Amino acid sequence: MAKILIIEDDPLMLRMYERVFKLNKYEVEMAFDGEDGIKKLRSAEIKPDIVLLDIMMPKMSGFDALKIIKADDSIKDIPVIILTNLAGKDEAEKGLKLGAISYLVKSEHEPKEIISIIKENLEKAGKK
Amino acid sequence: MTLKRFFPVFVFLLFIFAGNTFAATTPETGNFTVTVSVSKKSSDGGGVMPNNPNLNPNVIPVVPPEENIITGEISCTTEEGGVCPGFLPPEEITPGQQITEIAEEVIPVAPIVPETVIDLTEPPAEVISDVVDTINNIVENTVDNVTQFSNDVLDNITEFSNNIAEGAAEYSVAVLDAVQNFVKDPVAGAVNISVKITEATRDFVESPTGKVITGVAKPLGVAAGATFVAVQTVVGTGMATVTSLSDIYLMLWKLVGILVGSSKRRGRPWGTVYDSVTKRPLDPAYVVASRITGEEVADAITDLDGRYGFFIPAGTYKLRADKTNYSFPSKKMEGKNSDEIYNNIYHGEELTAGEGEVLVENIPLDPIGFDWNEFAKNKQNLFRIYSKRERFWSRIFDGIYFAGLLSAFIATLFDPRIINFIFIAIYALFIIHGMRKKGRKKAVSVKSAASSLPIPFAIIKVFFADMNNLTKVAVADHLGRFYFLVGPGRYYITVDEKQADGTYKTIYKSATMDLKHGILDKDILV
Repeated sequence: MAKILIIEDDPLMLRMYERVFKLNKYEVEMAFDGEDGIKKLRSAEIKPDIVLLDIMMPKMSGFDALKIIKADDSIKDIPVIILTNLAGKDEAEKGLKLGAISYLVKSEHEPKEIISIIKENLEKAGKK
Repeated sequence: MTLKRFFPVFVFLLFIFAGNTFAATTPETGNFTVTVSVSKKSSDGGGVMPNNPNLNPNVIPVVPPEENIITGEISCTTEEGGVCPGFLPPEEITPGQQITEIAEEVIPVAPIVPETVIDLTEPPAEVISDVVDTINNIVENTVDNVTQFSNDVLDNITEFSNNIAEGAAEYSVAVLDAVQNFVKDPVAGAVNISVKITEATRDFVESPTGKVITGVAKPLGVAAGATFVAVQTVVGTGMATVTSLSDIYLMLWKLVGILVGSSKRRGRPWGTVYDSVTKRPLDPAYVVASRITGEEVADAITDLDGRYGFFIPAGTYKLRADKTNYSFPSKKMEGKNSDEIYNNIYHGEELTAGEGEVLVENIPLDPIGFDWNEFAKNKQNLFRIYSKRERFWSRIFDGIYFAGLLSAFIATLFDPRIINFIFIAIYALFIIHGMRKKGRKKAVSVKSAASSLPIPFAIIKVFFADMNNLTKVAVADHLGRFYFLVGPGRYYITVDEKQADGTYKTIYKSATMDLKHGILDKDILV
């Protein structure tokens, strides 16, 4: 069973995605901001197969967190999908340039669509 | 122009001095020859000699200052003790006569018709020129002041919001231009003003600024057209009698009120989840459409501008919107169907979706705690459709609309002319139309260009053109109808047709299109 780490500051969104992913047999871990997410990524217990990363968060933004992730050899290979409501071209390009494998806009993808995208990316990464 | 403006003053002074006829009292009836000898300079009340036979006997040439002594003769016939015209004691003549002479030299004696501003139908004969001139000055100054005031305001607005001001300035200038024309020629101006305001309003609403403020406004076209026809008809048939400046202003208020109000009271092709206090759109809010049985039919996450929309089968549904730190349904908006920005407000009641309709209810939520996301979003002004000034402009437009409505009522009450009843009728039509309108939009379709038949169950894929990545997927229903909402930007669309064996084949790829509101507002013809 693949494990997903959702880094998202909005508790409602966290609960909603957690419910959808669990219904689709994924194991879910949650972090509430960038700092918390980095901490959980580095912990030996969690080790997620894929990360869903929000951008607008207090303490540390998703972009800053992504820079740190990609600069840390111990976690840089974990695929990161940005899941945000910022739909601008500039943000998307920035996210992909920083190393995200995909850039998804929450409002443009129903939760079940996100499931299929995650599944596709996990298959690409050789994880199911 | 300047000299003409002073003409009434000359005439007025002439009236005053006309009584100072030069005269000499004669001792008895008979013919006399009067010899005049003056040995003083005119500046000291100098003498005169009316020896020019062409001169009006009441008008005496003033002695040039350099000529100290004038001698001449005039003849007159008087009775005893009568007055022989043509002689005036030097100390009484100079000031008035000097002014009169100057007036005669610079102004033709023909009566001056003022460049009137108001249709003074058959002005009273006793109205004197200086009164007309004063009115002219007042009107000219008023227009100048209004223009200046408008420019000042617009300058401030420019600093306040360049984007908004640009559109508003053009609109204001166009309206002022129409007002000035109207003031100069009431009858032709009445027709012209309706054309100009109609055009200006249309341009304004069609501009990016106007769209931000008022959105796409088909009802505006109807309003503008109806008002235009009404004014043309009324003026053309002579039903309108513009008798005063206040009539003009009242008419303006009513016209602009109708146009502005009708443009504002329209539906948008999406629903918005928003803060009931600040009226700002909320994201991410989670919206769910459920049948009455509780079965969830569709869900959506609102975009940065709080937008969503559900194209679901006809039936009865309930909506629910959730957002961290907000509560649903809104108690603040309980019982209200509209506010400054939104109409068609949803409070949690059952809804009936008609065939082919998209549910686009506006859902207010009450804030119950501090929301960091909303704070950050507002601080960075990340909205793409919503304008921070929207509420401000909505209030302004509402004010104009209701002022127009009020002026229409008052005018009709105190002056029950046909034109006033027409304005009331137009307002009534829009109010009734607004009450009946549910804000629902019809879904667009994908059709065969050759046969116009719908392409059922087609898959419509929306690609972000600049990055060439798939953004949204919508599936058409059995009649080829579909709906999608994406962020404003450049996209292209592909259509996959369902084949007999159940597989799909791409049959269409559109050119890149600029979806300013992230929504497709016309059918796709394949």
